Amino acid sequence: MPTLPEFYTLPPDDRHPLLLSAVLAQHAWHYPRNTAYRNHCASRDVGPTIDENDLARVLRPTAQTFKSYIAELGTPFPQDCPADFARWVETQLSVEIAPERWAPLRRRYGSLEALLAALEQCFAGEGWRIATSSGTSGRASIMVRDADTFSLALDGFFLGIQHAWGIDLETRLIFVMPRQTRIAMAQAAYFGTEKLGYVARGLVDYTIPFPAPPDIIRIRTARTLRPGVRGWLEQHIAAPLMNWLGEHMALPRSIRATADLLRRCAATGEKVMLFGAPNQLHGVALALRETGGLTLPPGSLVGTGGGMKEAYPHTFAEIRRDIGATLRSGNGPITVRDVYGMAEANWAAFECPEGHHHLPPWLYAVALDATDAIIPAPDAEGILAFYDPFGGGALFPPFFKTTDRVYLINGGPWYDPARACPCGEPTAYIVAGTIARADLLDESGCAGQV
Amino acid sequence: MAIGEVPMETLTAEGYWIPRALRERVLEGATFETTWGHHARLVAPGTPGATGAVWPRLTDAGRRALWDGLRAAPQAPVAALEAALQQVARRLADPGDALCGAVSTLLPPHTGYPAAMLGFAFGFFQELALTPLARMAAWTPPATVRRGFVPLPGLPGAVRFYPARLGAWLGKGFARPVAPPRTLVGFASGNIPGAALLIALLGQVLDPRPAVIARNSRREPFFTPLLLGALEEIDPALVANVAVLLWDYGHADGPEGAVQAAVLREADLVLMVAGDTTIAEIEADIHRAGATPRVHRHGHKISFIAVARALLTPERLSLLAPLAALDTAIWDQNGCLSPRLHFVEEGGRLAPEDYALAVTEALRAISPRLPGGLVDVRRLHARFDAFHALAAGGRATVHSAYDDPFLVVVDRRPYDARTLAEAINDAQDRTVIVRPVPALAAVPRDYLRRLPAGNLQTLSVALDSRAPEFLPFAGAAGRCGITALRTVGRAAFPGLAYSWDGLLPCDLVAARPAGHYTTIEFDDALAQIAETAARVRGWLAQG
Repeated sequence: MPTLPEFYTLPPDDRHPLLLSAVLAQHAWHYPRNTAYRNHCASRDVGPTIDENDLARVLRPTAQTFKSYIAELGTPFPQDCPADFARWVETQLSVEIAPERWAPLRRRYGSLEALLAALEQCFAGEGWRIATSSGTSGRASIMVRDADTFSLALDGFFLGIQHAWGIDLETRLIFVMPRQTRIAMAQAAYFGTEKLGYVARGLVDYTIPFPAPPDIIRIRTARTLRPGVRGWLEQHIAAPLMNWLGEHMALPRSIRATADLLRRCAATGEKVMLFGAPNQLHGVALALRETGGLTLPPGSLVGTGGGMKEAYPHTFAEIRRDIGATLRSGNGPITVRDVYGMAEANWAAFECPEGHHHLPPWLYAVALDATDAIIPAPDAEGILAFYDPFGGGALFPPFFKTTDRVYLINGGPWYDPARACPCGEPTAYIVAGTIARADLLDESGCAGQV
Repeated sequence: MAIGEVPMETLTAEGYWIPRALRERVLEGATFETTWGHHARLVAPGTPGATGAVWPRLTDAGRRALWDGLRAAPQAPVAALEAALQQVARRLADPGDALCGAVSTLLPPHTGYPAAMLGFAFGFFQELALTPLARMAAWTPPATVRRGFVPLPGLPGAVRFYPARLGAWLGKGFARPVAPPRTLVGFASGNIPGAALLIALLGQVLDPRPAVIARNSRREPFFTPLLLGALEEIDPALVANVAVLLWDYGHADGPEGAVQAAVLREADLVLMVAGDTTIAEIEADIHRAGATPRVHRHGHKISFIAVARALLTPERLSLLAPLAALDTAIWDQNGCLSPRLHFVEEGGRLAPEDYALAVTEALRAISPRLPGGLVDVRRLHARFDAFHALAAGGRATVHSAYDDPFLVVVDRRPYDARTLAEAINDAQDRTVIVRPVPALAAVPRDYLRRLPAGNLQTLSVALDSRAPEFLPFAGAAGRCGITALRTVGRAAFPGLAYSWDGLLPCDLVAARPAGHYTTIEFDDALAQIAETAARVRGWLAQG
């Protein structure tokens, strides 16, 4: 089987049969081992073996799969029922777990962070790392990855970042993120830079000074609260205080620290990749603009990720414009590139010079139409779905449909050379500017919504 | 959709209606625009499959000529209009008739509702009775309507008034007549065809008839003009006082704002059938225009089904399940009458799970005859998965299959305010959420009471109305804000003469304290259920 890097040199026509057969094989492997997946398939009359015609039916929704603990447990606070949560975790994984492995768990934990840390401790031998989604709804997806799966994810991310953006091991990486967090993208950045040696050589900085555990994120968003007095305190005391601290302490300190680092790199000639959420990088750019901007060494780059999750008074295009106007690299505006990913994915799609987001060549990516059927065409506008048989690991079947409507080119087996990206990368890609969240709830006429 | 499809030939038709006698003068100097729609969405011109509604932007002189002409229209007897409506309804049901052909050609692509559903719904137009509506418009409810249900004049059922403020219970008087509106301005939603026609018909039963201008909906602009045209063919006097137009609003400044202000200043009564946000915009426009009409609001509504344990027997469930399925399927649950939760009383010979199973089978039988048009399959699948996750935790049961074009679940989660709202909002796209309750009394006490009273509408019931607990139950539902109790299976054909969102036809010509009417639309619920079931059986048997 090809390694992930080798996929870059495989012609598209050779990729498809490899990917398809791997997907079918992975289904057959996971089906008997993964309870949640098996139940999902059974609800769609899908059995232990499938063919190409069944592919759409095995997809699980990213919006629900690793949040289903809330429905099954009846609470968004699994720290209140660790044993039940452990049972849920077990159903999500394609490995058998001896009951005694859960024995060290306490009856309750004071926080979700404490529960997740305890689980990681129980399975330290397997190298468990538990990540969450950004949790802006207050209800976070929770994903377990073991050492192998996590390592694959890191390989995938950093292979992509090196291939697409030319980031080498000499580049200083400045992340406008907290070092301590379970948010998947930031967690991957932390452990990936560690694995690749950036940390050992002192080439990594995290400029958000405070940790961001899932409980803090939940309370700050103030959308999922504890019942009773505790919830009142969260909503009326804790959330406003945290947000005030964030806005008046963490954010200014982060911006100052980032700007200082950038100035230092400019002075020492150290090329930089500055990475963060668009609105946070915008704050850095605006701060630097007040002092006339900054010129960074050639080869420096700004990477954005995470999308615009919270309301912000400026558009993505405005943010990029302001960054490009403030930061220069070499003789021109700094290159600004975006990355698209999600917590459930072991991959990321990096923006090319043409503005398109390229999916990794080891991914089988398709778009779904309004009936959740795969659109069999090289240009397809629909909901993005993916199968990641080589990069997704063996802990759970990496077959998901997202909540993002995209315009996908050359996805699945439908490769049309005439539609290949002008950047020269012969992989499937999402057309610039076409990623849009497809919310599932809608109002219809006089039938109201509560 | 694959990019690069060649656009197909597109259809256009008038999305407005002006009496023939006034057209030439009113339209002089007007410019025309076309709004394109496809499957309930506004789309760009040339979109494959789209239909275009043409409508005029009138000049000031044209608008003045319209008002003058509508106000000078002769009166016409309600009986004549009723007879003409039945004639038109027969034409609608005749596949060989040009009217049926026009409706079948224009509405399905524009609205997304398939011809089969439209045909089914319009088939009941023949029962549209204006005489009871006129009678109700002329009725003065007794003051006792504040304290209990009172019979309706010449109609099955009863009505009760629930005041919004405590003082309204006091005093001898209740409603006092006001001068009939000289001008009625209506704003019609387009989620279900015919709102503009309904507004027009309400005006037609008043004496004297007002000038009626209905602001049409871009989402469904064809049906009312087509029907008014058909009525005019029979006798122009029947609809000489009515116009249906499109104009923009919500813009305080500029020419659109001026048109809206001009229209509103002419109105004695504004009747709004729209979403809550749109109603708020229009009311802001009324204020800005300095207009002072009376206002009737028909905003966002949620409705429910309640099933008593007495109906959960094999014999009665076989009657009831197709009716509940029909209520769910019609208009793809997009109507204000569409039930969101089905409250099913436990302790009967059969259980709520049996009810769910029966409704599932009924929906499977009905779906080919009433195929969905606006069912969002993706959302349906997402709900299917969400309820399966609940089922894994023992909190729900999923009865329908992944490939069913609907969803039926029994939801046994504990409901707080958030989950209740989530469940209600989830009941779209032909989603039946069965909610077991220990007794029907729990429905108003534990559910309806926790919802915004102003958004409650219909409680479709399957129960024995002769049982002593019925009236207290109806009273409790009314106190929560429910404005209509009817029997299951009648969401497709509501009675115009009854309470419409808490307003009776007599409210068009009466002033009364703030509050709402709740009507019971039957004398004997079981008998009416049996009658409806027989009709639906007959329809299904036609195959």
